Order: sequence, then structure tokens, then C-alpha cells
Amino acid sequence: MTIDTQTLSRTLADKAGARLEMWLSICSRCGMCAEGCHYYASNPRPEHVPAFRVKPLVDLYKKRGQVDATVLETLRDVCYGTCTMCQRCTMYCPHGIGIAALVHAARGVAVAMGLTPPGLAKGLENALEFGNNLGVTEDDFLETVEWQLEELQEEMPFARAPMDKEGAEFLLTFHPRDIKFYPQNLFNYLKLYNAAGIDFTMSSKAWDSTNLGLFAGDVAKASRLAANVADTAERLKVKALITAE
Amino acid sequence: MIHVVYNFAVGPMVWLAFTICITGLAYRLIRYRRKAVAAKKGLPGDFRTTWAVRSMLYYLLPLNRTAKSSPWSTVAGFALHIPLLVVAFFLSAHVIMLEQSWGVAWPTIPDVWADVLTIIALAALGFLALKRLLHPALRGLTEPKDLLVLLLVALPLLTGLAAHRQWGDYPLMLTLHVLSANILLMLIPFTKLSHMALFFVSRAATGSDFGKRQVGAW
Repeated sequence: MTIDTQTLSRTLADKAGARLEMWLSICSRCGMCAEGCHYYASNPRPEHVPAFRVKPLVDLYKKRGQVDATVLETLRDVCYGTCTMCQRCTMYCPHGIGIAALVHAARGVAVAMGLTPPGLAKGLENALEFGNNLGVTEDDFLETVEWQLEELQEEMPFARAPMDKEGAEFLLTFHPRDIKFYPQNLFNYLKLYNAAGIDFTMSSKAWDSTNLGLFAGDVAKASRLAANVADTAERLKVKALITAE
Repeated sequence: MIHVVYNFAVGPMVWLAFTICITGLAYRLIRYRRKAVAAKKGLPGDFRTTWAVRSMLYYLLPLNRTAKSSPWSTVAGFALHIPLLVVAFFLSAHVIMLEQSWGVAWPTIPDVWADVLTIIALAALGFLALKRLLHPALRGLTEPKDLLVLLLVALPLLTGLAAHRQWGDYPLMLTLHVLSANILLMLIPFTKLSHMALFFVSRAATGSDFGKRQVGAW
């Protein structure tokens, strides 16, 4: 792999915000963050100490981007492979270092260098094309909602599942997995919201509560995905958005 | 010869050390501020001051979850920082030197206290070094400079104690003490030791963030 050094140094400069610079320079690798990490809890290896995830980024900045491909591949493997960005480590860090934010920045470097892991890149493509990361079409979504609503109405005749209704109080969003593989979960959601008697709506276009752009570290795509849902919420004039999980 | 070195170390070098330490840390703080302000331009202010202050307090005192999850390291941390600062500021020899050159003085601690505190601090440094070398996960995480920085802090303590207890050659120990303390001061802004100032900034930033989510500030 050849490295586009210009893109790399531009990305590094873009990401070097106040906090990133500070956090990279004060992480003392004391290892106390390990106590908060579920990777470390299940397998206490040095690579599973959250502070370890900061190393490739420190390395990159110290060498001002003058690195070979193995450094970037290590960065990708460490930052995508050993972190879910849950931020528990920050609660255990005596310095209060936002390790997840650093991992996010490192992933952003990987994205800029074309190193997004293939599975994640595919989901992200789906999300941008279909509005959800599993590539569920609008017809399939509407059909699944209709099907689950019919089932629900057998035990709850008054149940409703409003679609694209303006002025409702809440806009519901779901994990695409629930729609595609576990429609029973959609059934349960609808049952819950109907039983609670809240004024809600769904959107036929923007119902994915996940943001793989954010997870991948791709800020531009993350913004587009977030805007998709946020703009819909504004157009439908809802008061609040309910996200899954 | 040793007197020439000593005179340089307690004279111009002290000025140099404090100048580098203070301007270096000030530069880091100003740089942070400028970058943070530039990034926030045009956005509404959302800093949670109360949460930021609470976050600092909960970590300046052992009132946080880390104190429970890593009790020994927490003890070592306090056993290092408190004696280090108390001895640096309140040792009679230090205050006397300041009084001789600037005419300002404040109360001091008995010298025997200083000895005990120094030994406690050295023991804490020893614990932290051993933990780095023996704890399997931490050993894999440790880089040589992580141990060097502990040595950097240990040297002024060790030589100061040796000078006071008259171990070895007194003029040599005293000169080494002043030299190593000057070097420590000069390196603070450029090493992990910059947490001396940035600890407060980082805790404030994170404490404020936690405040926005209404979780704990610690």
C-alpha cells in the first residue's frame, strides 16, 4: 500500500484540536482505565487496556505522518478492533481523558486513508443509499410495519402505527436489525408505545437510529446521516426523537 | 570545580528552569484556549462550570470510582504528590534560600518531617515503577520513557534526602540535587508532567461533558 502523505498530514492537522493535543500529551499510560473496559474484563491483555488505543495516534503525530503502511494498518486494527467507544474508560481515567474521542479521531484518519473496514464500509454505503444500514427498502419497511401492526391488533384492537404524521409528539426510530431480522421487536415497540398512549409517528424515509458514519469515524457521512433523521423530525414538527437501544 | 557547578545551578540555572517551566506551561494553556475558542466559534456556550469544578474536586480528593477500582495506585498517587509539593514548598532549606534572595518567607515544616515525607514519596515512586514492571498488562503498555519520568522525579528527592542526611559527599549531593531539580522543572512542560497544569483543564472539559449528560462528574 502506498500512502498519500498529503492527505495524511492534512487529516492529522484537521484532527489536532485542543483536546486531542492535550490528551495525547498527558496520557501517562497508568493503566487505570483498564478497570472500565469490557474488552479488558473479558481478556486482560495489554492491547485491551484503553490507553493502548492511544498509542498508534501518538506515534503518528510524533512522526508527523512520515510512517509506513504497517503503522496505519495497526492503527486501523487497534482502533476498530478493540474498542466500541462506550466511554467507560473516561470515567476511570484520573486525568479524565476522552479515550473514545481519540479512537474516533484515529478512525477518522483510517477513513481518510481509505482504510475503513469492508463490512463497516458496506453498511455505511447502505445507510447513505437506503437510509438504513441493512439496505431495507421503503416497501419492505412499510410492509413489515403493516404486518406487525396487524398481528398486534389481534390482541390490541386499538393499536395504531402512524406513518409520516405531522405534529406528533415523538418520532420513533429503530435499529435496522429489528426491522430486517427480528420483527417481533417492532411488535413489542408498537405494543409498548400504544399501551403508553403517547402521540407518536414513524417516518417512511428516516427510521434508522444508528449512525455508522459516527461509528466509522467519518464525520462528513455521520453528519449526512444525522441530518437525514433530524431534518425529518423538523419537517414532521415532532417535539422529540426516540432512538432505539 | 564542584563549587562552580553549584553556583551556576543555584544561580542562573534556577532562573532558566523556572522561566522554562512557567512559560512552557503558560504556552500550553494559551494554545489550548486558542484552539478551543476557534473550534467553538459561532456555537452557543455550553460549559458547565459547577460540574467542571466538582470533577476536579472529586479527583483532587480520593472521592472517585478510580480510588475504589485501583486503591493501591490511588494511595501511591497521593503518597507521591502530597509529600512532593509539601517538601518542595515548606522545607526550611528551600524557604531560607528564598528569604535570602528575595526576603520573602513562610512557615516551614520540621526537617524530620521532610525526611519522612521524602521517604514516603520515594516508596510511592518505587511502587509505581514496580507495578509497571510486574503487572502483566501494564508491562505490555509501558514504554521506557514511562520509567524515565519516574526516575526524573525520584532523583531530586533521593539526592535531597542524601544531602540532608549527609550521605556520601555533601557538596556533590547538594549540587546533584539542585541540578536534577532544575532539569525536572525544565522538562515539565514537554513531558507527561505537563499534567501539572493540564490535569485541571482536562478534568474541567470532561466534567463539563459529563454534566451535559447528567451523569456523575467523577
